[in-house]
Parts: sequence; structure tokens; C-alpha cells
Amino acid sequence: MRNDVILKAKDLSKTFSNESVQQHVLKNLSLEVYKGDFTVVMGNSGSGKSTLLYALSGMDRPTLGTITYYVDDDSKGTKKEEGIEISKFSNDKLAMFRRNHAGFVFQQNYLNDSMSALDNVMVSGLLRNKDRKALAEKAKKLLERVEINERDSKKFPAQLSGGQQQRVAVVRGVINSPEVLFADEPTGALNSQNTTNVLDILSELNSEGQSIVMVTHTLKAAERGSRIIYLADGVISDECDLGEYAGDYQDDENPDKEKARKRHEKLKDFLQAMGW
Amino acid sequence: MYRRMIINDLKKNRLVSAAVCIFMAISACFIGLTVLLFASLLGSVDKLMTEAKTCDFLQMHSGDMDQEELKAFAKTREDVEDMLVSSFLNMDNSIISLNGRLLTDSTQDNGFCVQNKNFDYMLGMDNEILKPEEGTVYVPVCYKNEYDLEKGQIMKVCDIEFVIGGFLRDSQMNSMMASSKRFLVNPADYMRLEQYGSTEYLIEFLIKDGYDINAFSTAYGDAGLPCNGPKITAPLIRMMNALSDGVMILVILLVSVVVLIISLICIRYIVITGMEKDRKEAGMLKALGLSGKDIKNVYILKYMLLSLAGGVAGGGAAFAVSGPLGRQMRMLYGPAGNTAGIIMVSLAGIVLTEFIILCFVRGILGKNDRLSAVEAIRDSGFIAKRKTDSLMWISVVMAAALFLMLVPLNLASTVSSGKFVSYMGVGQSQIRMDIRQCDDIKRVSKDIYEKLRRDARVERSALMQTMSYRASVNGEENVELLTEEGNHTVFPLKFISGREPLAEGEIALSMLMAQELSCDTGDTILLYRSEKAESYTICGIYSDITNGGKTAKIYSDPLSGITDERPDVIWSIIYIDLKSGEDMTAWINEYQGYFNEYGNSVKIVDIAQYMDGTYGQTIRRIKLAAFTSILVSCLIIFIVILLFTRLKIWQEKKDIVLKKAIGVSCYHIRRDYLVQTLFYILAGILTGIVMGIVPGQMLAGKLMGMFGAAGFRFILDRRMVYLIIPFISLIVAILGVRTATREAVTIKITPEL
Ligand SMILES: Nc1ncnc2c1ncn2[C@@H]1O[C@H](COP(=O)(O)OP(=O)(O)O)[C@@H](O)[C@H]1O
Ligand SMILES: [Mg+2]
Repeated sequence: MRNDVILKAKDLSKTFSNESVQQHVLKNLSLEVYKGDFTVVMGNSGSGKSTLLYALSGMDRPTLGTITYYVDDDSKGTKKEEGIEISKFSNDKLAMFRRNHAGFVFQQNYLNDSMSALDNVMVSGLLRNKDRKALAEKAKKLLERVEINERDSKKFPAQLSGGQQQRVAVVRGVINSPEVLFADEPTGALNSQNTTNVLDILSELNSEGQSIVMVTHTLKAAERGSRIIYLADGVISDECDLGEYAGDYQDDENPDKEKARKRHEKLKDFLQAMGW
Repeated sequence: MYRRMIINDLKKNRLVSAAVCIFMAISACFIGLTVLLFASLLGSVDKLMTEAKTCDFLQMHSGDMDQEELKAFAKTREDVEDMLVSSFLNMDNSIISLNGRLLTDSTQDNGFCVQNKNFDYMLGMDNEILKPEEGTVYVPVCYKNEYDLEKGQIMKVCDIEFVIGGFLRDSQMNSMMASSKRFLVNPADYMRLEQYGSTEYLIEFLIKDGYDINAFSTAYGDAGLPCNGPKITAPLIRMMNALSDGVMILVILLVSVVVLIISLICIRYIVITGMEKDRKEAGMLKALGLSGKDIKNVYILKYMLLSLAGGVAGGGAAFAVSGPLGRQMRMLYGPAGNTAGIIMVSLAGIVLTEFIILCFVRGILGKNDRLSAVEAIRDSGFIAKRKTDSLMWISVVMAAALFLMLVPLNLASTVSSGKFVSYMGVGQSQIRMDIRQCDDIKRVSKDIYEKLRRDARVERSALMQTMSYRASVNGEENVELLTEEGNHTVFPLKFISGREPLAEGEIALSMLMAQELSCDTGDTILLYRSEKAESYTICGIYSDITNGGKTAKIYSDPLSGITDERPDVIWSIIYIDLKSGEDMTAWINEYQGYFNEYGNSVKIVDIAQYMDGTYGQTIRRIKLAAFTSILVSCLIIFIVILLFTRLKIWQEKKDIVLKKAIGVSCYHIRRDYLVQTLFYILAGILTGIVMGIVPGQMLAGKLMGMFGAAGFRFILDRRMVYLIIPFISLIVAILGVRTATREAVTIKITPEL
């Protein structure tokens, strides 16, 4: 039994033209994302994962096709049933939309070097939330949850470790309680310990109801997903449902817990079938 | 939060922020200064003209006149508020001395007048209406500095002595561009002086408000009233007043414009590189949901802060500097009336400058904000890196800086060069002998000249005798022509067209004279050298600033040419060159001894010394200006080169790290930068030299042309222009590069790889 659809992409195409050479990266792709899911997009390098993510999240416009969000919009006073179609929005309108409904985490954390960790979170928060005091409270609580203490939160990004920085970035991504959190290989630049750490945070957020769309090419990260979508050559070749095995995440390649082992098997089989 | 972002950014980029702020401050300072000085000048002139009740219409007239006729005319006109006829006692400059110095080299018509009754007052230094006692004279304030005068010193007219009771502001003739100067005396003294000069009349009218001065002027002309002389209206008087000190302001304006352009170039470059550097962070902010407009606003806010600081600093500097710079102006024209208004206008100028800069910045931000969030986030090679044009701008700024150095420098070298006198209408000789005010100038000069011809130490000499002839062109004009007779080939003048007169029947005119008579080489002039008119062909036009720039020259044999039927010689000049190796001072002293019998009427001067005495002050001021602008330009070069190179290094940080990683030494990296930049620095220097000479000469020529010196060419100090200045600029530029590349050494390899 699926949850409500939160985001619906229909017949997406994305074409890049570079000096007379045209490259069709997304080809007539359709996809529905469900509320509360931890959707993982996998695929070979260059298959168009990031391009898809950017299109879905309203960072970039598709060449063709529509993207409809089923969310309440306070600024327009529309209800979620009506849906908001964003594929034709102007840059500024897209920016407005993103600040209200989407959160981001990237491979490189892209924190603002000239601001403290807390300020980085605040900048994002202030875009939506005008109550500075309440916001600061929320930011501090979230940072504490990801084990960034008060002292570290006053430090500048350069003074923090890569793992800490990425955790700050995750907090920044969810500070506005976005309907969907988008993550593009959030652990790509981290070591094993920090990877687990960040993934745990994402899993925890998801278990609390946060919808997440994450691009990854590691098995370890993909395992956290409830639904795996495999992208090949700009189209979705297949998908795999891991929802029933959620929880009990381990770092081990040969997990002893029953649930974890089954999930591991299923994912492996799926990827093998995809020729991964 | 934006505030915090901006403050952090300013802190992080201290050098760049400071540089932007400095450029904004300098621009504000120069433009503010220009506006401030100009507004003060206009304000002062306006106040002076109001308090002195300057007339609206002035007709000068020499010759007979009938006052009743004028009064009758005035009565019939409903637009005339008041009229007066003021007499002006024109004196020969050679009989006036101020504090022991004769006014012979004055280019002005000097004369006396008494205080007027109802308007056109001569005012004192507190703008009070002056009433001189018997025996005192008030001297035009423009002579105070020129002749270094103090209250209580003595002015002599022939043998009559006056005590200088103070200085006067003459709202009509204060400007050095007005060709007459009025000295104010008591009516009784005026009567005593009358025998020494010739009377001219100033027929003046006050026109009621709301009536057209030009209409009145036409009506006056049509009425057949006295009009032998120039006619001037209040707007012209105002303009001449404003122009006199305007030259300095013009120079400052020129500098302001160059400085503003340099500032804009630098700011443009800084803004672009800054954006390039912040690209990732800006992209990130966009991804989070800031619109392009929001980000632009953050930048604008930042530059607004900087421009606020720059504007305050620059404005403060402008107000501080305007004090000393405006001293001369305040002395000539008095305090300005509407101080609050002037300050407002100047502030408006400063605000406008900053506004222009901000608009410019806004434009740049707009143009360079094409990067979408995705493009910024994707750190891939898809986005073509913007080509940096910093090196080309180095050339532009170098050229501008050199221009700024060379124009004043060339002006200084030209003015102080010995050859420059030929532009002024004076032969280029070593010694000059003036014979004036004695009973028989004709005979005395001939005697002296013959004596000189027998002196073996004299290499060459030429006798020039000046007379005033009536002349007419096309049968219409009837002018007095101050004509110098003699052999003009010995010490040639600077001819704009044609050549010097070589035989009887040829005449050369000064440029201003030719302009006034609107004739050219080849035209003929009728000259009344005796009762009978003789026809002369114009053989050339020369540059001259003596005697108001309006003179003529004809050929005559120095010994036999000037016979007794000719009118009196007004003065004679003998130009002399000694043979090389002769002691000039000794020679002058010896001759001065011979001529003691003539008293003051024969004067021998060493031209170099004479020039220094007369124009030394001006030349020194120009030299100071040249020196200052060299310093300022060097500073600009250093800052700009340092800045540009440093920004370039930032941009190329990755390359540097890579180079270091593969083992290229810091020495080589620094040398590479120097070699890269050097070409552009040299190109800039070359362009600057050319610009400083060619357009610079045109600019200076225009300025000199206003005073009658035509065909102006820079006399270059070659060593300075081609060697020293380029060398200094090069050294400063290299110093800038070296200082900037020192940072390249400190870049660490690890974090970037
Ligand atoms: N801005 C762009 N211009 C041209 N080609 C692009 C651009 N962005 C992505 N591509 C191309 O699109 C393809 C998919 O890229 P991407 O979505 O980053 O793949 P993935 O994230 O799956 O590795 C790649 O082949 C890449 O070359
Ligand atoms: Mg990717």
C-alpha cells in the first residue's frame, strides 16, 4: 500500500546542446515520488542521475515534460490536491519554490566559508522563517542532534572536519522542514565512519516522516532506501522495493541480522539484474 | 543575516574592499572638489556683482561725447533704471610703478577712476564701498599677488606718489581676462593725474528687471550714440569672471575625469573577479532558494556600504583641500553668498558620483549573473571559464596614469623653456634693453644701437621701435595698431602662417589682431604712417601674448628707416646676444653704468632672470602641479598593478598549486607573472607617452590659445619624457607585481588538491 504521491514527473526530457552536438540525457522519463519514502536513484556514472535530481528539485528546468508537486502552498494559498507545476517557472519563481518546499545536500558540502556553521543554517532558515529566535532554537536543537555542539556551531566550515561539515549541511537542508530533501551523493566525499554517521541521520529523519530523494552509487548508501530506482541511459530501467526491510542498518558486508541480510540480498540481486 | 554575510565578506577581503573604498573616495574627492570650487566661484562672483551693483550694459568710448544726448536717450527708454558715465584715465604702463616695479610688462590697460555714485562700485576686501582719501590709491586685488603688494607701499605715476590704501574688487574688470584694470583715487587726485593720460568713457546702464538686455543693446546701437570701443553686457562680464579662475578648476576637472575612469575600470575588475570567486557560494545560496535578485541586493548593499565610507572620506578630503585651493579665488571675488547652497550642491556632486559608481556596479552585477544554480553547483568543465582581461586593463590604466603625469610635465617644461618666449611674441635673445619715457626715444635708441654695433663682444643685436598707427582694412575698420618696426629676422618669432616682414610694404599681425580684423595672409591693410595712407600686404601671422596679444610688425632699417616725419616712438626694445664666453652680468653692469644719465628710462635685463621674475611664480606652480601628479600617478600605478596581479593570482590559484606540486619553484612562478605583465605594462607606457604628447598638446594648446599664444607645441624635456618618467613608472609597476606575487609563494599545496 503506497502513500500519497508528493511529486510527479511526466515525460521528462533534458537535452544539452554543446556547439552543435546535442546530448539527450533524460529521455521521456516519468516518475512518481511518494510521501515518506526514502527514494534512491542509482545508475552508472553519466547516466543522468544528477540531471534528474536537479530537474525534480526545481534547480533546473527540463527541456520537455512536467513536474508537479502535490503540496500545500501558503504563499499562493493552494491546496495540495491542485498540484503545482514548476517546469515552466522563471528562475526567481523556482528559487521561491525551492526555499519553501525543497532541501538540499550535495557531495561537496558547499557551506559558505565566511559564515559560522550556525549562520550557514540560519541563512537558509531565514529565507522562510522570519522569527529569528525560534529559528535559532530550532537550528541549535538540530545541530545538537547531529552532534555538533554549541562551540563547534560557532566555528567556520574550514575549522570543522568533513563529516561535521556534511552534518551541518544536512541540518541546513532540513531547517525549513521541506516536503522533500534532495541529496546528490551526500557521502561521496566522506570516509567510512562519517558516511555511516550521515546515513544514520538521513535514515532517522526518514523514519520521522521526511521524504528523501537521494542519488548514490554505493551499495552501502543505497541500502538505506525504501525504494531503489535504476537509471540507465536516461530512462528508468527498473525499480526495487526495500520498504519491508527497513531498519537494523549495519556496516557489515555480511550482516548477521535477518532483516538486514534479506535486504542486502534483494538489493544485490536487483543491481545484478540491472548489470551494475 | 545579510549584514553578517557582508561584514564577514568585507573582513575576509580586506585588501579588495579597501581598494574599492579608496577608488570611491578618490573619485568623490575630485568630483566633489570640482563642484565645490566651481560653485564657490560662481557664488562669489554672483555676490560680488550684486553688492557692487554691476551694470547690465557697458559701452566703452574714446573720443568726444555728449552726455546730454545720452541722458535724453535714457529718458525715452522705459527699460532703463539708471545710467552713468564714468571716466577712465588710461595711462601708459611705462609710467606706472607699483612698489618700485614698473608695469611695463603688464598686458593690461591700466588707468584711474573715481568711485561711482549710484552703481558699479569698487569694493574693498570686505565688499564695502571704498572712498579713498587724498593721496591714497586702491589697487586691483589681482595685482596683490602678482606684484607682491602690501597696504602702505608706494605707487608712482611719473613723479606723483600714492600710498596704497588697500585693494579693490572691481566687479567688471577683476578677471585677468578683462583687458583693463581700474585703480581708484580721490577726485582731487584724479584731476592732478588727468594731464598724464587719455580719457576714455564707460557708458553704463542698469536695466530694469524683466527687460531684455540684448534688445536694449540693439536699440543703443541704432540710436547712433557714442560707440567707439567695445560693448559688454552683464552675462559676458559674469562669464569672464567665472573663467579667470576656471582654468585651475578645468585642470582639476580633467584630473577628476581621468581618476573616475581609472576608478571605474578598477572597480569593474574587482567586482567581476569577486563574483568569480564567490561563484560557488552564490550558486549555493541560489540552490537554497535565494533569487538572483536577492544575491544582487547583497552585493549592492555591500558596495553601498563601501561607497558610503568612500563618499564620506572623499567628501571630507574635498572640503579640507578646498580651503587652501580656494584662497586665491576668495581673495579675488570675496566670500560666496549662499554657503549652504554651495555645500548642498557639492554634497549632491559627491552623492551623484557614488550613485554613478553604484549604477555601474549594478550593471556589472546584472551582466555577470547568468549562472544558474545548477551551473554553479556542478563543478564540472561544462561552464567555460570566463576569459580574464585583467592584463589589458593594466595597459589602459598605465596609459591613463602616464597621461596624467606627462601633460603637466610637458606644460612645465614648455613654459620654462627659453624657446617659449617666442610664443609670447618676444624674440629669443639673451639680453633685452628697454628704452621708455625719455624725451627723444628715437635718438636715444639710435645712439645706443650704434654703440652696440661697435662693441666687439656683441654677437648680434636688433632694434625694435614701437609706434601706434591708424590702420584700416577693407576701407571699414579704423583701428589703432601697435606696430613694432625693425629687422625681425635677427630674433625670429613663432609664426603660425607666413613669415616675418622682410621689406617695406609687408606687415605681420599677431593672431588675436588678425582675428579681430578678420584678415589673413595675403590681404592688404592701409596704414597711416604719415598723413598719407600706405598699402601693406600681410605676410605672416605670429603668436603673441604681449600688449593684450594685439600687435603688428613691419620691416624698417633700424638706422635710416625711422625718419623724423614719423610719429613719436612709444618705446624701443633692443634684443642682444653676446658672443659665447662673454660675461653677461659684467656686460650688463657696464652698460647700466653708461646709461645712468638717462635715469630710469633705459633698462637692461638678463632675459632668463626677467622671465623668472615675471613668470617664475606661474612656472613654479605648474612644476609643483607636475610633481604632485607624478606622485599621485605612481601611487595609482602601484595600487592598480598590485590589485590586478593579486586578483589574477587568486583566480589562478589552482594552476599555481598544480605547478608547485609538480615542482616549479616560486621563483619561476613569480618570474612568469612578471614576464606576462611586462608586455602590457610597456604597451601602456608607450600609449601613455603618445597620448600625453599628442592629445595633451591639443588640450594645452586650446588653453594657451585663449591668451593669444597660437600654434602651441610642447617643448619636451626629452630626458624626462622618454627616459625618466617611463623608467619610474616601470619600476613602480614592477614593484607592484613583485609585491603582489609575494602571495603566490605563500599558497599551500595541500588543501586545493
Ligand atoms: N550543463 C551541461 N552541459 C552539457 N552536458 C551536460 C551538462 N550537465 C550534464 N551533462 C551531461 O549529461 C550527462 C549526465 O550527467 P549527470 O547527470 O551528471 O550524470 P550522473 O550524475 O549520473 O553521473 C553526462 O554525460 C554529462 O556529460
Ligand atoms: Mg552526478
